[in-house]
Amino acid sequence: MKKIAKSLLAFFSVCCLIFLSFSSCNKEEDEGLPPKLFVMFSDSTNIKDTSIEAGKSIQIIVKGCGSGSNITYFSLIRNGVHVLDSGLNSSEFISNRLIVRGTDSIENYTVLIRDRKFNEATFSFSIGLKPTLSYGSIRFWPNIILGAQNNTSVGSFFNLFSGQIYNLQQAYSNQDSVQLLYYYDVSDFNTISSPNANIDTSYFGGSYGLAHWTHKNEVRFVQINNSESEFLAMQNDSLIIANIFPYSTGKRKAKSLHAGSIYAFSTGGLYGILFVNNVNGQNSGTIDISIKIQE
Amino acid sequence: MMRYSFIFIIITLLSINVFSQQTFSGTVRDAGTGKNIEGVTITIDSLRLGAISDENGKFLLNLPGKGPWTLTLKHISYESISWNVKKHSDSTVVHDIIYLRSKPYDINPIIITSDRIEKRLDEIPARVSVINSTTIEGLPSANIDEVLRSVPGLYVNRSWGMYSKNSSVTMRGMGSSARVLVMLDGVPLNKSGGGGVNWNLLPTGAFEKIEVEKGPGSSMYGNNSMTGTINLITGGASEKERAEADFFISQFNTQGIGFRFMTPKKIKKPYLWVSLSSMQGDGYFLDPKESRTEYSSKSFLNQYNAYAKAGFQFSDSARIEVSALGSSFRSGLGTAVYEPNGSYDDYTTYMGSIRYNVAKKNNTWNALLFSNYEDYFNLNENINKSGEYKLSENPTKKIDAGLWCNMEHRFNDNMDLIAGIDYKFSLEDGKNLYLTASDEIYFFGIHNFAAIFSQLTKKVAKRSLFQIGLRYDFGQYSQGEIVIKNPTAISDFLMPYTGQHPSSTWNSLSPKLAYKYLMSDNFNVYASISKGFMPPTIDDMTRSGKIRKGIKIANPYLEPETLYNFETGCQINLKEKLTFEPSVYYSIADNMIYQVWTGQEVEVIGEGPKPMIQKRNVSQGTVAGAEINIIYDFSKWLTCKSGYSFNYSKISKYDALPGDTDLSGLFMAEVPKHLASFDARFKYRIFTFVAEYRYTGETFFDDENIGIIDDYHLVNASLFARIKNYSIGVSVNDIFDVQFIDKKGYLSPGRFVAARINVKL
Repeated sequence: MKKIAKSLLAFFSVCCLIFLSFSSCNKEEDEGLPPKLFVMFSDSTNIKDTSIEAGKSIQIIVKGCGSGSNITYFSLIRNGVHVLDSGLNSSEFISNRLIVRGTDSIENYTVLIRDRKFNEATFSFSIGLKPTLSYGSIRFWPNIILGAQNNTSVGSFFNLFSGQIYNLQQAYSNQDSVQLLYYYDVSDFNTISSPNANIDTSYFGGSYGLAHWTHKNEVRFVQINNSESEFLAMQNDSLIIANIFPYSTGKRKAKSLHAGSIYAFSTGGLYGILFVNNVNGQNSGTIDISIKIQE
Repeated sequence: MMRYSFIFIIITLLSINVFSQQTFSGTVRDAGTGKNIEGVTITIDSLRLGAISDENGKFLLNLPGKGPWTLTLKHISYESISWNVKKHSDSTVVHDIIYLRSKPYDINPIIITSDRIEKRLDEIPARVSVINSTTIEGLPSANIDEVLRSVPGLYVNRSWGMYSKNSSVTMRGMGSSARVLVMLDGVPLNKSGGGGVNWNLLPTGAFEKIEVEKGPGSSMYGNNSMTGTINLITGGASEKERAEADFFISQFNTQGIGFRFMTPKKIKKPYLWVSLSSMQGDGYFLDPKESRTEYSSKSFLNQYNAYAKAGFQFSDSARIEVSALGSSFRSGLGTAVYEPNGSYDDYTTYMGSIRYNVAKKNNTWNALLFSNYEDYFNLNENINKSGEYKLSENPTKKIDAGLWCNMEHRFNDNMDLIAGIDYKFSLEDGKNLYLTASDEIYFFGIHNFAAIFSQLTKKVAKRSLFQIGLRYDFGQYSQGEIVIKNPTAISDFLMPYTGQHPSSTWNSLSPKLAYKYLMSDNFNVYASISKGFMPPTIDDMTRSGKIRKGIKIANPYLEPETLYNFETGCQINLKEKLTFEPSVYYSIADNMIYQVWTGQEVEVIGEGPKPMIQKRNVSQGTVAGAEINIIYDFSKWLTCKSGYSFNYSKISKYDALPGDTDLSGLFMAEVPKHLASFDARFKYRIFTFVAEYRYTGETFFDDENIGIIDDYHLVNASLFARIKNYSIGVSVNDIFDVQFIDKKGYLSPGRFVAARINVKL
């Protein structure tokens, strides 16, 4: 009898041990308090509804502070569309964001932060549209010829502000002056992108290769539907402003380019339009592009 | 007067002789299971005296003289031992229970997996391998699936060693672990969610035996038994109360403990068997050195397992048993950015079962009620190629529960009929939560399975055995749904494919015809024709998402894969020392499931159009194979076993759209053409030394036959010594430190040294 009691006691003890040890590993913990969110203008004044001209920008400061859980998500939503989604994992953060006004009659912004436990905090404001009194001047680079990655006579790298074309070694020595590059890829075909576009390291490799650059500029692209004649007729940045897009929604590469391809692009707070005049060859070939960019 | 004196002296002398005898009554039992062993020969060489144990394991010897006497006990399936008997001063009958330990390789073991009831191997017309506790003990393997590498034709893929979150065990020239049914004490482990098996539920010390039946077993088990069946059998109650403890320490700061306790199994008394274990380790870097970054981390391990079985033996032929298992396995995935543990997988499993067995006259009934609940959690963090931080949580709950019932009716000694019904319910409820985005993806699906089966076995003229079986399975997929909340560029392209999936049903008929001829006790041949199937998984029928090839869209209309198998083989035993077990087989696979391009594209914001991929039943394949198992008992000290398998597995037909890759004529992925193994076990006095050699041939790891894992050789060894209740040993896995990179680009652990202590309390 004693042995039976001992056996049963051992059995039930084991069962309790099993259930206790596993029930204590409960992933569903308390919800917790939402994180704290502060949004202000760059001059540290409280943010409020305002109006600016299309193409103009305002700088905002976003400060988030977790209430016991790290903040993992920060989003900027414009008229219901996510224009910025940023991942992080920190108890607090500060972010300076440049908002460039588009051409919609009203832009309703929501700043959203969310912590590890899916607690959210939001802040909303609106930016109205002031009529544009004058458009800005533009820089025009016509018929820029760039060589693909294996082209030994024509450089692949371009400075948007000086118009200079570099080969790989020259580009390596002028990393902060290089915004665009051209290459050919078996999947992406003729492609214009920028040094920070996660390009296959077999293209532009070697000791001067992109993998060794310490400064990589980034450009984002969006394909647009304007015609060549509209592009050529541009004398100011009106067409550029009409095609403004939230920076982070742009692609890092303009792929499958051919004669007639037209893209809006943005870098360093400036916007421009790129038109493809001609493409010739593959990884040793060339591309002929014209560019108009805000000054 | 003289005559009477003479008679008196004779009678006195006779009486003295009688009173000089010692009667010895012995019972021989299996050291592992406690069962009585029939047919053990007991001899005393010096006296030319002998006996044979009866069906209750009992024997009786009248030992002449004053002793002491040395008995030698021998049985073909057990290690021979010597037993000393001393004379009692009062000459009362001496009773002893003698335990025999199974030989590492049993020529004719008892099998339960093949027909759901116990039968001897020579009664089963199939290729079956058994790994018993004698073999498992002292092996260098840290995980029970690695023990299976000694079985010819089994491909065990556990590229991170004991740090692998899962392992894949396949056989007979077909990849995918969902094509092999794996059971724990007869309870199926394959999840209907993804078809996979959790091999980290218990430590190797908890297992008594592994039975592997190769070839389709769907006529008896249905789901997943497409290429074979593996039954992992844990220890049972022993003849007396006992306990043992294990201690384990190895490199990568890995240590573990285990404890097992068991009580005797007696009539009208409850019994208990318990196993508790844990293992922790820091792990090693999964990234090869040349690709390591600041975010590379070690593959840590935290493992806790508990398994308890309690039963009540109503009589010799009736018992009820309940079991409960809890297991937690957490392993690092090799990257860490901000999270304290980095990326990891966590598997928490709860299993329970109630089984009832009763035998009455010519009938045996078995009922098994089981449930298997898995709570899987994945945390994934990384910095992508664009330098962006990504963090996601992916919890998935899976439930597989069912009721399996069968009965056996023995018409006579030569014919029996097994029939039964099975029901199983499966559910998968999962989420993909993107913590660094707003996307939330929820998916859900249910499978119901019902089956009825029957098998007739008839012996003809003592030496022939025919078996015919048939099983009908019905499957239903329902309540499939995928919901996406707050989509961004990560998931908004899937929005057109969300919502409820249509329900679907399928049927499968699995026949089997087999024959075995026992030419003699040492030579038998078998042949069989059978059909097996693998049901589609809830994952493939429910989940959509981005994969390497494009955007995978769920297919709720998937049907089971089927395999028609023709095989023959034999067993040749020479002088009880050398055993050959060759088999040849040819299989035709139909309705094979592959990812194919649907002809459509999905527009992904920021990336452009991507091909729409879907899993469909589009392919046929063939497997031509052969395997051989050779066991040589050199002496009582040395036993060797070697195995080899060859598989020529090709895709014979593939319905591809123009523009998609046609896989016709290509080799099936993750199927090595050549597998070889060699094991040597040397036992001398207190020492046991085990050496293993494993060869895995070159293997394509992708369907397009572009990626190759080169062939590799592994040598493992262990040495342990047992002194009374203590055993201490050291093992070295991968002695020559052959590190390889798996198909995902991760490094194997290389040479792994461990020390173990076992104490029987």
